[in-house]
Amino acid sequence: MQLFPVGRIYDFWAQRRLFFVVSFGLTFLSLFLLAAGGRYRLPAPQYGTDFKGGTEIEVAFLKDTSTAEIRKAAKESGFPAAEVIPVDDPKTRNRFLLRVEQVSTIDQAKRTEIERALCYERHTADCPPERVSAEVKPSPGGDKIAIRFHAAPDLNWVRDRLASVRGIELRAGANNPSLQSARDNRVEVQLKSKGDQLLDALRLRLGADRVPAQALRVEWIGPKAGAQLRDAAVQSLAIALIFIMIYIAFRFDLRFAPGAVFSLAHDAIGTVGILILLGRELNLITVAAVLTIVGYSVNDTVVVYDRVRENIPRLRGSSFVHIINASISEMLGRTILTSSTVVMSMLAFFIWGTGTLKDFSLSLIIGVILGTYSSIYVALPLTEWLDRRFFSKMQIQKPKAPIRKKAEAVV
Amino acid sequence: MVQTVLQYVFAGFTAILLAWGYIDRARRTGFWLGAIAGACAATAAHYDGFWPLVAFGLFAFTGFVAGLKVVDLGWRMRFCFVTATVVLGFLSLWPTMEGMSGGKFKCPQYIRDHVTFRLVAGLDLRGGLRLVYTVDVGEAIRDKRDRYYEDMRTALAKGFGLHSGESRPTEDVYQKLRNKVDIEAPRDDASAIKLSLKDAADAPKVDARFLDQFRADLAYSQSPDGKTFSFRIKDRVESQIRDRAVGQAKEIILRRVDELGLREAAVSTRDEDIIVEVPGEDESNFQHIRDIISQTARLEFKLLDDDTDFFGPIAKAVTPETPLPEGLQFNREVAPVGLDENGEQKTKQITYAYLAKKPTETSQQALDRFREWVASLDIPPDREIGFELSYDTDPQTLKETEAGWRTFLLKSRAEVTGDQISDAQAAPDQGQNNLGQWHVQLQFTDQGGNIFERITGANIKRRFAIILDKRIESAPVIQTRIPGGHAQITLGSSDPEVQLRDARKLELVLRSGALPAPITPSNEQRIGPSLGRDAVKLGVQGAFGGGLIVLFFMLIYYHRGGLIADIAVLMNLFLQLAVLCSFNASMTLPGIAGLALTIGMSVDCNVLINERIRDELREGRSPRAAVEVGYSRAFSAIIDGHVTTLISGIILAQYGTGPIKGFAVTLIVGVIASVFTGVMVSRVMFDLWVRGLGRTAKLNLG
Repeated sequence: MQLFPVGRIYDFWAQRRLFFVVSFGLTFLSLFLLAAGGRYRLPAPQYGTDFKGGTEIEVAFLKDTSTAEIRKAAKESGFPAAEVIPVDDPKTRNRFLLRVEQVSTIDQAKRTEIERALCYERHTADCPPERVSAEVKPSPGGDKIAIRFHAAPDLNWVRDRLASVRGIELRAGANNPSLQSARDNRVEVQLKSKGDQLLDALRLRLGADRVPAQALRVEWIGPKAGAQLRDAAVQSLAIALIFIMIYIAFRFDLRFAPGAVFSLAHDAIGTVGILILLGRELNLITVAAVLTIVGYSVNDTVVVYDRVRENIPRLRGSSFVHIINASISEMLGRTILTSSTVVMSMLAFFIWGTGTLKDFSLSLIIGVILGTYSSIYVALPLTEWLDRRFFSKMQIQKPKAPIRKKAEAVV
Repeated sequence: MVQTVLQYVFAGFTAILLAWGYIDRARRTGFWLGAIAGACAATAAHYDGFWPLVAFGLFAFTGFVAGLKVVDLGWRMRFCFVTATVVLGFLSLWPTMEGMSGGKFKCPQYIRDHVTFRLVAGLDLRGGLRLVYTVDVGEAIRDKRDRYYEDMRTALAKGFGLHSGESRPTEDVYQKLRNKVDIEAPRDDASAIKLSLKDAADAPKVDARFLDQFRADLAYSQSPDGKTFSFRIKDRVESQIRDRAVGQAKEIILRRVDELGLREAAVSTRDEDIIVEVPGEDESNFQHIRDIISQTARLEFKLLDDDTDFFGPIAKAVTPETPLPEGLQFNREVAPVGLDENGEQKTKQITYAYLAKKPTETSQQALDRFREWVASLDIPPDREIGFELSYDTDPQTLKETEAGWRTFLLKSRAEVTGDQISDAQAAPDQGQNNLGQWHVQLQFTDQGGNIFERITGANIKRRFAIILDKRIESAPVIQTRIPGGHAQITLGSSDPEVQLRDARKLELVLRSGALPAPITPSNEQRIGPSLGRDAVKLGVQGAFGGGLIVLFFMLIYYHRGGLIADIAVLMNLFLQLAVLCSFNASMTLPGIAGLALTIGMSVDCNVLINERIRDELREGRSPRAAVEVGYSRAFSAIIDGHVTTLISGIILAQYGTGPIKGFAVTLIVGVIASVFTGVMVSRVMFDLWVRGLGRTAKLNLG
């Protein structure tokens, strides 16, 4: 069986200008989205809990509830990337950890307002000396405020003062605000946070007979992998690119190297860009997916290169463009088979998977398609252009010299 | 039982090979080499050496096959190599397969006992253990306060004209300073320092210049009579200390977790908490992880004060009515206290307290009791009491049991601390009498080494204490000045196995650095997979289906060549899993990504080969030649594609951390497996097929 007739040469060259614009546009747009997304009504990159931290709540549901139900309810309530992790606890059944990337941050303006309300180092008319606070510190997740007073605090006064601040709401409960340490005059105030909102939304969707009135705990969590890991990934990719370039220059030819590296960067950046455009979350899994795409892309490009390298002496006399067309046509069956292998296995994860799994398979599918495309429309045109622009004179001169010598020798 | 059977099987196999080699002269070399390996295998089986048995068994098999008359020798060797890989891979994977299939796929106990590694499904696919620790921030603040306290003393000593220059004041200076001013760092208030002058006339000594040094970080107030100054660490500074302590603790725990080989564990922070999530289900493994993570690993070297017989007067004052903790007694010992003018060793008789452990309590409980009593004593300033665990040795079995605690009087100042250590290594003792004993070798940083050299030089024939997490590990006598920045810690117990375990643990925690403050476990849970069980199941089933379609398609597309490719691709998957299993890796979603990629590459590899062979056949070559040329033509593309991917894998493994590293390892393993299966395994099958065909037959690749 044969997918494509043997010997048939398709013209891949005709549309190269169109695809050049597409590739260049995609890369540029992706870089722009990464750097300055969110402005000019463009989508912003959504970093997930892995990079950004988020809100975590632990809930013991009152009746049997499946992860899928919770995930669905969370999604419908505006928490599309909720992580739902069952907790195996012999005492309470149906315990789950829910993690969402949303946090209720307290920005500088609101912070100043809170500080003013709580008489932070202020000695004005409405702040008698015994009410002045020495420290006002909202937690990074915006769910708590730690306050320290110079004198013994009046909790009711704290509550009333905070009630005057717009945009924050105290969590209901008897001991809120609470005195943390009488010796230090330390007070903690718990605020209604994203976690509470999530719980309220779940109660609305799943019913009050399933969702308890209060979560076991609601907390802000820090990122698992900070910018450090992202930078490490980018740095190692950059180093890998240099080494790949050296290897290709050594094994093939200098003019092949930039094409491979550019198409590789194009695939990695383009995938991230498309993910941002689709409004998908970027997390640790995305990093893994991008690394996988890099591996796939470089392999694919090199295999196509290999055929071109082989065809150059075989089709001596043909133009470089013809060699490229012929090589790609010969490889077409293989290209389709290989890329469909990866896409097929990922398609299953995409269709049946949820949350991260879905995002992950989606990025791989995008990446593989881009990787296959870029071998043909990014790597080879760039190589051809370099060849034409910088190497063409050398090629013409090369064969001439030995021929003349030979002729002289005969004479 | 199994090993007895195996022993006879291999002995029998050896005998057959010997006999066959004796009869068939031409093929003697292979058979007799096989026989030697077979005998070795039987011996290995006898002494229960599992892996030698496997290795020699495979060698014996190789010898046997080498002697057969199939194809040519080169092919036979390749065949044996492939078989050996398959057998090793299968053995590695067998116990894991049993675990993953829920016991449906039986694995004999014998294999389960000897193949210790397992492939664990990661946090995202299977769940694991979630540990929450709380950083004792108070301790970090107290630490910082103590440093201010030291600075303040030095500055005051200068202010009173008792000391000058950059070096640290001596004990005498501090003694003189104490007559002028009382500096107190209260034990129950971690952020306060109190300074009270004995004479109000000295108040100008605490001048603006002195206060300026500390104004940035400390808030202060002065009592109305001008004699007492109260300093308190500012809230802003406290928050800084807190944030830094938590951040550092996270980094160090990450490093420890990484050194344990748990690349897929996740560590994150939350206010003063550190959350560690570890994949797997194995309780004994978890216990090990808990031990390693929660050990503070704060190492300090402190000098002993043997000149003061602190417990002597206390022991004398004891009457039968004095309330003493149960099991407390006072012992006397002769302590070395340096050299006299002639260079001779001086000694002094001193008293120490000893508390025997009650049989019903743990040694930690005994220590707590001991500490409580010691806290009621009036310890001289800048001194503290250290405790060392002592052991009872059973004269018959030489088994050691923890017996109780003894005291040492220490100088409070830590001369060298753990952050001045650049490396730590567990090493076996070399001496004749203590064979099988282990200790931990320490390498100091340059600065630490210099301090250590100076201290040891100045305190020859005195004792110093090596303190780990507030417990004295040992208190040796300094024999000479120790240059070069080396030291060693001997371990308490004398049971070699316990020693080795403790030494390894100590090595790991010292090398990853001390936690900036102690941490206490506050919560622990078993958690399920973060990806959702049903989703993972459906996804895996789907991927399985997708893979099957690809395999089926290749079968149709290349006919028998496709079958060979399918086998090669499946073997690639199998080998990859086996190698990852032998690394004790955990399988996560990024890991699966690596797998999917290399499976794709493996398919690619086989497609390239099949396409080439087709090309050669089309040009009219004979099947044998077509296979030969096809492989060599396809090889350059395969090798270039794989090497470039390998390059990115190696660099990611080198510079990446955590999950990136995990992915890179999978990628490297996969690439190597892909070349192996694509070039070696499929070739073995192709060769067997074409040689069976003969010269005239047609090779049908669809």
